[in-house]
Amino acid sequence: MRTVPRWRAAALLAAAASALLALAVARWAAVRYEAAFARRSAATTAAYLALVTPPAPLGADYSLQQLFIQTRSLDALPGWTPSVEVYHGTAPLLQPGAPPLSRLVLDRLRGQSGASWGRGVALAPLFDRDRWEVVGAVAIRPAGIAPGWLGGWTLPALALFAAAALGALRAVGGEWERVRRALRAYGAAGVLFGAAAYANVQQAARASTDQWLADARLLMQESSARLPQGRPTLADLAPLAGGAQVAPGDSATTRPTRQSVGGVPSAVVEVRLSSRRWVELRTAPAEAGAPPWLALLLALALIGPLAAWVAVWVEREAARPQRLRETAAAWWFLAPATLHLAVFSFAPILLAVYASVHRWSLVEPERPFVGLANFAQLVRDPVVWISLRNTALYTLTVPVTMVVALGAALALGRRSWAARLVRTAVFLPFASSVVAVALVWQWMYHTDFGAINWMLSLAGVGPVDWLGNPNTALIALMIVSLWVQAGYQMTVFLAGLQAIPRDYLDAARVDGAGAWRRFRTITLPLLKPVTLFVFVTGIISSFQVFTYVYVLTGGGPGHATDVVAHQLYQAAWTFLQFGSASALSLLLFVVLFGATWAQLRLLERRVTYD
Amino acid sequence: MTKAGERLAIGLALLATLAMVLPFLYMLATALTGEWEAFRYPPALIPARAHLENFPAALTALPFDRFFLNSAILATCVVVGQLFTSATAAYAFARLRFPGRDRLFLCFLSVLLVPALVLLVPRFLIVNALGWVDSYAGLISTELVSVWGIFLLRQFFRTIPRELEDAARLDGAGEWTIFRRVVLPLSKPALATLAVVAFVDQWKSFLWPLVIARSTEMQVVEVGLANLHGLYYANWPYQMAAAVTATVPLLLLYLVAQRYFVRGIEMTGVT
Amino acid sequence: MASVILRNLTKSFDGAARPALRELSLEVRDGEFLVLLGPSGCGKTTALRCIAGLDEATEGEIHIGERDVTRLPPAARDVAMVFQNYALYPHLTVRENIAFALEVRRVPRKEILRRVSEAAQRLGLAELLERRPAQLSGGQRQRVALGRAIVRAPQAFLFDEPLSNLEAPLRSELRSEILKLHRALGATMIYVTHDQVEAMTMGQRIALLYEGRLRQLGTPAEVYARPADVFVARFVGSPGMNVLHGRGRAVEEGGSVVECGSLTVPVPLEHYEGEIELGVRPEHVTLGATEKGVGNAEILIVEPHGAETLVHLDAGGQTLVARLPGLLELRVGDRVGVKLDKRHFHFFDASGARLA
Ligand SMILES: Nc1ncnc2c1ncn2[C@@H]1O[C@H](COP(=O)(O)OP(=O)(O)OP(=O)(O)O)[C@@H](O)[C@H]1O
Ligand SMILES: [Mg+2]
Repeated sequence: MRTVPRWRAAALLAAAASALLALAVARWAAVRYEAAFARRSAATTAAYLALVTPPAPLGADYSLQQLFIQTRSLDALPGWTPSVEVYHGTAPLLQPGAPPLSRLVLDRLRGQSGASWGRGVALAPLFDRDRWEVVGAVAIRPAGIAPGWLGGWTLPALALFAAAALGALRAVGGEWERVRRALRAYGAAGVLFGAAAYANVQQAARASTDQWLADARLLMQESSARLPQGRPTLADLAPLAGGAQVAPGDSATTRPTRQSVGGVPSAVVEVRLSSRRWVELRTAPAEAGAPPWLALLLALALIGPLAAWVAVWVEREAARPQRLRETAAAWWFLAPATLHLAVFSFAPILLAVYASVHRWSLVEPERPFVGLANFAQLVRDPVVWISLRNTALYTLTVPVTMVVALGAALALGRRSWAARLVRTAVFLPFASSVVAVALVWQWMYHTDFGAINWMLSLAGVGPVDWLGNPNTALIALMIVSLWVQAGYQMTVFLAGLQAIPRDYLDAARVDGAGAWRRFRTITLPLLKPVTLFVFVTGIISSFQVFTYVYVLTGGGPGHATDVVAHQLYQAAWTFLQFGSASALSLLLFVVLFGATWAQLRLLERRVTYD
Repeated sequence: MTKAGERLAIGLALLATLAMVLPFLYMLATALTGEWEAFRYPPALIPARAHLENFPAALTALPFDRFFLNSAILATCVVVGQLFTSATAAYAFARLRFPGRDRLFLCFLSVLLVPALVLLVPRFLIVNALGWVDSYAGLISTELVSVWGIFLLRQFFRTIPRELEDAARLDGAGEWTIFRRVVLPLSKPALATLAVVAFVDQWKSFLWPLVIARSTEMQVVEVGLANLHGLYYANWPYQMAAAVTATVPLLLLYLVAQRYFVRGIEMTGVT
Repeated sequence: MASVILRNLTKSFDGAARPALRELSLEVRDGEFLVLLGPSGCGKTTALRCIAGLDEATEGEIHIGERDVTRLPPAARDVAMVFQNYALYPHLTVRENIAFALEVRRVPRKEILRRVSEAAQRLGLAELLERRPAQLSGGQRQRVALGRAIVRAPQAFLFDEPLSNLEAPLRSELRSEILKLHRALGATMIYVTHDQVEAMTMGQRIALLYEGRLRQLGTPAEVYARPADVFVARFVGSPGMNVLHGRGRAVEEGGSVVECGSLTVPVPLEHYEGEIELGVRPEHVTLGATEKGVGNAEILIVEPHGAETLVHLDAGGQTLVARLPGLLELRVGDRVGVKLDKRHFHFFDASGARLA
């Protein structure tokens, strides 16, 4: 086939693009972390200088000489890595020969609160003692945060990737088993390569947090050495900490560590201010936000193998253009549904998993990783257990409704107009508005003026506070559910009964079997798949009951009618805790998995037997 | 059957009919009662005078015209969307041969494994990220594909004789023409079933509109009804008047399209 | 109009153990009426669908006219096909059914009108144009299917057992109608059937297919008179040829005899030794008194047909059929003498291939 070289060339190009893109993105991400470190570090250094530099005799500006001394001494700090330059106004202090800062840049620094980044240098404004006027700038050029383009394991992984790519492309058009093996190796190499590239990003993220913590620690300790006794106070140190927390601490490690603080993973370092004064510096670890890069890098690294796979496939199919055409047509037809399912069904599942291990609220911008804390909190919450128990109790309506519905189906299966009328009536509740039904039942359940209590009073039973009494509220809801679902289930059963060949029943009748016997030995066994279907779908839908609870009781009284769906709704839209709502969703998924699995098997059977 | 048994059956059937229909009659009766007349004991099924004014009053207490419009827009758009996406996907699954077809179909079916409630929160987060909260886009977008619809139509398409498509293919028709001019016209009953089921589902849907629609102008009838319940807690005639109005379109649809209703349900459970 | 040439056409369905077609080579001449004949499941439909492009050939080539169409989609091959179950679009009227192909190909309206009414005239459908397929009888439906095919004036017509859903009288009527069409249009037609009466009466040539292979290609007379192998011999004719399994033995006075069951048949073969299949058509078998002829046989079944009588015989374990003129008084269980007309013997070797 003439098309082979073309596809092979395309796949080769894709491999190169895949590798380059992954490397570039990894590098870019690492540099972003480096920049984040430098910006933070510049701001901290500026705050440090503002704290320790004595003022000039007049005004709030600093003494130029002092500023120079303080800056010079930074380089002498043991463990200090970045290279610093301080501008007073626009003039560089340490290297007087260096070009001055442009006014424009300084003006721009005035307009913003944080530090800026450009050309490998972070610039933070240096405020005067009153923290009012910008009198200069601190420039930080970071070193050693981001690994190089091919640092870490990237180079060997890249070599492996390239070798696998060439191997796969050489195999194209050859023996199928070999091609498959080569493709698989290529895919594995892609994953490895993506992971290696990600390792660099992760390392840069970690290093940016650690390096800043270390530098901030140094500066805090240094400031405490330079300031008179009793200072710096925690308030003095706050500007140095930037967005991080400063808390009283105790002596522990002096290297940055990762700890869980109140369920939130944090990066922590202990700062010794004097022999008995320790503070703890805490910040969100940057690497907690890194995993999305993994997804991106893996996707990029897999472009190559994917392209090779397509090339192999097209090459194989080139001999069958008809099939190729049909496949292309099929994908056009499938595109709308597939894209929609990807975005609105599959992505949400992944997102639910992701959100469930984060503290995720719509109002807070921070979404820290919290591990299984959301789940732990759910399991410890008694209300969750109560709602689970209520939901389980509520599903007891399913078998009861089924008995009623099956009875109705058996009685109303006839072709007479009367039977049809009754069937229509029984189906009415299911065919009408859910909230309207809930409202009329609430009205009928009314303690003093409701129709139900009035009827009961005719029988001499005293007024029951149906929805207000914790003992009856759930039962009241279940009655509504039965009333609505009976019509639906009856219809399914009727269809199932109609599918039973009459001959079987007639044969049994000829054999002298009575009605009950016919039902037991013929109807019921043949109805089993339908019964199973009704049961399983009934369980699944009643586990998700929400509207009746929301309208009729709001989960009350107490938590007597609180169900899982209501809990979930409250967690997300009352308390805005989307992380824990996601965790609850997943919990529900797990609880229901058996039922849904059974449902899928039923469907599958219908798919394969048709 | 014996005479006595027959009588018993008739009695039970009457009782069942009564139990099913009475709440609706009660709803209608209360909707026509005066505000204070409702709190009468014993309750009266027939009000002294038909308080028809309850209807305009209840329906303007909240902008129900807008709610009905929203429900109609939601249901119609979803019906059109589901018909389109289900039919196209089902055609590919039923009639086109391509590698991985059966696996992909199972993958589609596996979406049914995920209860709707599980998807609620993450779907909301996605719609929120897209900036579609409190908009028609948010209300509609998540509902545009129904795996059940795809399944239903696929089963139906497979009953259409293959030769029809082959004949069309020889006649020079492309896949799209075959789909549009042969398969779709022959699938009208199945499409009608899907349309009716989707419409009713959307009209009755509550939780998703509840969380997506924030402003009053974006509410649908069901949520509006629940809100009315909160606002006019003690005014049962108003609530019942609104409830009657909300139910009428569905009951009308049911009475007109009962065949498709029933067939839709049968198809979920049996076939 | 064009010739249709198959070269080494092989078709394997995914997941099937055996290929449905194996190295089928066949040339259908321009304007020829060729019948593809074979038992159920032999691959006739598959061959037709491959020619039409509905199934993709696994190997081999297909040429229609000057063009290699092996990799072309059905629409580009310019052939028309008539299906066994008519495959009329149920939602369209007869007129729309016939016009569909022209509409899809964007033929101008006027032209469509003209060609549809012409086709309808030719097939006597003018009265039915506004009906739907459900309102037509089987014969009418098949006529509409024919109309749908001829309105396109395609390079070749493919028929897949178009008459097998019809009753016998209708069948012969439509048979002559199709032949009339063939003469009028001078078109290349490939006609699939498993009914050999159809094949013998309609085909200019017959291609015999068995288990995906071409067994014989020839005029009806050739296929009948000189079957290429045992399978063809047994399949063609009703009832098919008697094929007796026996051993050949040379005899002193020259020639050989074949011993099969209770029969010992002298045959005009020079010194043949070993296994042999001896074929003789039922009309070349006559009965006589015992011990006259080549041996005795027992009468198993007697089928009086009126003008002729079929007699099934058991000759020592070998069954054979005799076709005798007129109504005969024969009793089941009687022993009779068997005579074979040695001018009409066919010989096949043990593998079934024709000898000489
Ligand atoms: N789509 C398919 N997938 C797998 N095998 C198939 C397919 N279509 C046909 N076959 C097989 O190919 C062989 C030939 O089938 P084909 O339909 O061509 O036979 P036929 O000669 O037309 O028989 P009939 O006279 O019954 O119509 C059969 O063994 C059949 O089982
Ligand atoms: Mg066939």
